[in-house]
Amino acid sequence: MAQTQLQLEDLILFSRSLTLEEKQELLKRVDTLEPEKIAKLREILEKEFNSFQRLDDLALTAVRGFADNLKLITAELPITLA
Amino acid sequence: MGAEDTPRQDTPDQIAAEIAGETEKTVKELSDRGDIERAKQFVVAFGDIQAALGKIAKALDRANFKSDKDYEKARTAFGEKLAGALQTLKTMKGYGATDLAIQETRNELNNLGVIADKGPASYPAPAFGTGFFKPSQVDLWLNDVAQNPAQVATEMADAARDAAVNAETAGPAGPTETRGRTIAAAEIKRLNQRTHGAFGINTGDE
Repeated sequence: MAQTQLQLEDLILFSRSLTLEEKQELLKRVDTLEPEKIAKLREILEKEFNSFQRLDDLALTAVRGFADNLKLITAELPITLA
Repeated sequence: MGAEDTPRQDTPDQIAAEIAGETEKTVKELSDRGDIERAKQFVVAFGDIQAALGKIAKALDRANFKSDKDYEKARTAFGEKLAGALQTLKTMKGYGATDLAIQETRNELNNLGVIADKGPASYPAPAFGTGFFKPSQVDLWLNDVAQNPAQVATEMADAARDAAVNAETAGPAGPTETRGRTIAAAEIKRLNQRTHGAFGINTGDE
């Protein structure tokens, strides 16, 4: 996936760490935060977003490996399938 | 072995249905995040899994076995192994490293003062409590998966393939049935070793 610069609002919405209520509260408050806090908030949420991207990569690798090996299993079953 | 340790006994058909549900959830999640390319890749991979499971379900048709016992043994062996593999995929996204990443983020946001941490977030609960996993063993298993997911998937598939071939060749009741049961128990023990016993599979010998 091409890495695009996500808006802070998107990062808040994508976060798996925040509850729905926390997301709503943070979205309301984000304009009132100091620039330094906004920058730090972005940094934290980008780190979380990227960590889940890596987990998804791992999951996809495992799923692909599992799928490939299931194909081998079916190819080697000693039964002619209709 | 207590009731909480009882392994699931899903059939390939049930697993295929569950995988369809997992596909939908995973793809929706990735699509919501705009990761359309990876969502497509999951669809293809899960589609392959569903197709393969469909073929396995056909191969495990009762008519293909010499006795009801052989048939039940083969279906149970597949059900256990495939349910274990499926649960691993689900757990990888719902627990372990994910859990840690969430807690780390919450700690940082709490330190920044943008949330008041009142305890665990209401993110989806992990699969524990279903009686299927033993948490400490799953941690070890997840570590293996994180280190080398392709290798783990290969080992799981090898065990399932061995079980299929041996169930097919176990033959009718009598001395060969005993041989088949011994082989199945040995394979399950081997699978338990590979997964640190995370799936709590009972060989029937205990």
